[in-house]
Amino acid sequence: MTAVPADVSRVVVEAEVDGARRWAERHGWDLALGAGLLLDVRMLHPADSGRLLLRGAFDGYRALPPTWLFLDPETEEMTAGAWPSPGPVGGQASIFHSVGIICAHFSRRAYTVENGPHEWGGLTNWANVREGIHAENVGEMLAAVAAHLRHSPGRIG
Amino acid sequence: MAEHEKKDKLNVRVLAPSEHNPKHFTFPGTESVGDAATEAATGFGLHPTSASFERDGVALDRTASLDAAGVHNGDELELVDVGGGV
Repeated sequence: MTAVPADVSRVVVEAEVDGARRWAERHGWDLALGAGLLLDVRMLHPADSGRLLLRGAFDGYRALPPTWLFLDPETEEMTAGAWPSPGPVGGQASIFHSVGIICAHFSRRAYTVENGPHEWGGLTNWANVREGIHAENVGEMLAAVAAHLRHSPGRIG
Repeated sequence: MAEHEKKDKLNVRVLAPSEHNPKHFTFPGTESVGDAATEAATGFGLHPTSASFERDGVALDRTASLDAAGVHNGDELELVDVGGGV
């Protein structure tokens, strides 16, 4: 999909995940960067204290934004019960629209080429998009998810 | 005058989600949360669309002054973008 070699993406992601570790510790989130450029982020849903698993796939990063998906922490399948429901965020829309899409510029699935709702100049323009919440690195992306998760009333399913 | 200025200034520690170490900033208490957070974000090389500060997990009103938001000298604040979804 992209010409960015996996080992290049790996170096970048490792550095950004390392930078985000203090934030994750402060917020009680667990970060595990595994093989295949997959980052598993485990946290509790503030509304029900149940476990959540957010997985980021970083192939092609930073030329392309990551793919972020909430998965069932046990089965690692994408289900409605694994996905936070949207709640208003200071009178604004949530980035949690529906199962399968975090609707923000740093989420690959938000783009039309990935069947999402936004064109935004294409995937390779992701870091330049200035609409809605903004995040340019792993730490900021996680902080953005956390900010909206605090306003989520529960699960979609 | 010097004492008056000293009282009007707030020295705060700011944390960014992408960095291990905080940075120290000094802001007038009358400065808005949004302007101060944007200035701090720039100091970290970040470009949020709606910068604010969080304290104890609660985002401060970015339109309020630091004084009105209850920020005190020596506080530790965390940068956050309070923009919405799209």
